[in-house]
Amino acid sequence: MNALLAVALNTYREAIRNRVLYVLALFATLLLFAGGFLTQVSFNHEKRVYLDSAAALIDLFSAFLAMGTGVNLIYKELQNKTVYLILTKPISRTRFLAGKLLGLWAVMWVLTISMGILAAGGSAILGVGGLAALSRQVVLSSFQALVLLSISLLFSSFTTPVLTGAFTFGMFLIGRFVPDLHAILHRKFQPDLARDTADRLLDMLPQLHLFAVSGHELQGRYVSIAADFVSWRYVGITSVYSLLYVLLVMALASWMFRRRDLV
Amino acid sequence: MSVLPLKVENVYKSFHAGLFSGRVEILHGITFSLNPGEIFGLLGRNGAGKTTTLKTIVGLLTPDSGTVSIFGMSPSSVQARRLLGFLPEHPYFYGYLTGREFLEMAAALHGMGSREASRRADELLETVNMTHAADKPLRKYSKGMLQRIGLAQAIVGAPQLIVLDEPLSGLDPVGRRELKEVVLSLKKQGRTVLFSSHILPDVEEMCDRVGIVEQGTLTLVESVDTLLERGTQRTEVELIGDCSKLINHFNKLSFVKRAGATVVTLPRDGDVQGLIAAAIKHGCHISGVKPYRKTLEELLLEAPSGVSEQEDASRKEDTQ
Ligand SMILES: Nc1ncnc2c1ncn2[C@@H]1O[C@H](COP(=O)(O)OP(=O)(O)O)[C@@H](O)[C@H]1O
Ligand SMILES: [Mg+2]
Repeated sequence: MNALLAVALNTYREAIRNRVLYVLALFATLLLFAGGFLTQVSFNHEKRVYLDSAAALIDLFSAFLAMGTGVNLIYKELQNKTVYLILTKPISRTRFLAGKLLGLWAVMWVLTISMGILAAGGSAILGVGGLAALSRQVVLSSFQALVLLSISLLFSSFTTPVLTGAFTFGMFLIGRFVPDLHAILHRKFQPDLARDTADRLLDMLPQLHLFAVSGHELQGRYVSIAADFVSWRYVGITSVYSLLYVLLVMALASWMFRRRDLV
Repeated sequence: MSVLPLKVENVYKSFHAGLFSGRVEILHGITFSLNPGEIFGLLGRNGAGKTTTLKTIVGLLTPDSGTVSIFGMSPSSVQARRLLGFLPEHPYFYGYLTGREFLEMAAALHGMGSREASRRADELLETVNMTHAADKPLRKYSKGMLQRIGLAQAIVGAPQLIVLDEPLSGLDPVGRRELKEVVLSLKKQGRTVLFSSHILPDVEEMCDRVGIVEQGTLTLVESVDTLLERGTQRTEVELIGDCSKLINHFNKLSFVKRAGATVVTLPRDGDVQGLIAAAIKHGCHISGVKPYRKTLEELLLEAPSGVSEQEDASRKEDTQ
């Protein structure tokens, strides 16, 4: 077996053997709670509310799980000094990071797909449909998770876990509100060099708003998971964007990590 | 000409002392090298810089200046690490893996396919006597058991250079004996072993050469034989019967009565042959001849910059 895959498999095992089941249980409970609550709501709104909340849950859960496991697992790897055993074996630090990312991403796929299946089950019980839209949301959320994982790896490669957590969460928040931030800039400031620079900077951040589209305007069109959701084509383009972005982030992470003293 | 398994040249290493303070230099120009097939012991009190030296050698730390080469290659190269095995001090493991899974992963990191990896894991579990606990998660292992798994993962890739940081600490006497046997068998296979320790009798038993680290400087590199030979100080000859004539004949030597016998102590370069011949001639029975050799521990404690008394006490505790 390839050394990179060995790291990926081990990372996957660690995450799966640790906490995934508890998280899923929590998610299922929340979903059931939502479903139970919804039976009280008038029938017309039920479909929209149910699918909206399921999509939001998948989206936010996967984002927080990605940040949580990303920060936590690398932190543990460095803090517990298990890296001493791994990085003195014939594997480059770059491949080690890539293996970590792959393993964690595999976990995220398992999680988002499980959440998708639970959500679809709820939707079948309520008879509200929306399966295709839900599966597109699952794919979007998995790629958002990938971006967040790579960002947590980047920060972990040179700073402390606490700062990694804070920076990753900061990137998440800003990334989700890039269009709003652009709008604010354009409302409050005259067009000048400073504003242009700020615009460019915002564009360089991870465009995480692309992954949570339900309930937002997209190219002048109102998008809703219950009615008029994004196409597979959109999902494909967004996925390619995340892969390219992640490649850049990982190149940077690897460059930093190769220089790091493992004390 | 073959390249040396390890060459450490003038290595300096410093760490940040704190967020706003400068750097503190820990290693001040360490230089030494290992010959193929030898066992080298790095000795020194706690905080002397042994671990820092070893971590620099295995590529976890980058020296500020100076170079480390493993068979002529930088430890940061994957090629060099193919030939390297490392057991950290207080090794940490993935608690959720079983001993077997962990060794399989270690084998996979050496590029073995899954079947080969599991065969290798079985073999190593046997070597370190851990087959009985192979399928228990590592978090349930005792410290001694972890140390054995740690040794197994260090030799998983059949490395030519094995670096062990305090491999004997935390082991019971049986574990120590077994570890020593594994290390000696590695030597028989022509592997080179570098390890740090503060348990001197073990070092004396295993090492070909030792190096002493004090405050980040290598103060002495010497073969164990030379050290011990220098420590051969005196020979005691024990006699029974009437030795008055002999005593008169050798009036420059000191004879003492001990437990019904007469004991004479000869200096390091004393004429043991001559004394024995004379004793026989004068009708004394020789009941014993005993050379007195200082242990490595005594020799090192005697060194002018030796270990403080407090350290000495804690070391004795460790040794027991
Ligand atoms: N990461 C680090 N940051 C600052 N000081 C360190 C660090 N690691 C080790 N030291 C200091 O370096 C010295 C040598 O430590 P070490 O190499 O662990 O010694 P030994 O293994 O001989 O006991 C000690 O004084 C220790 O406090
Ligand atoms: Mg140490």
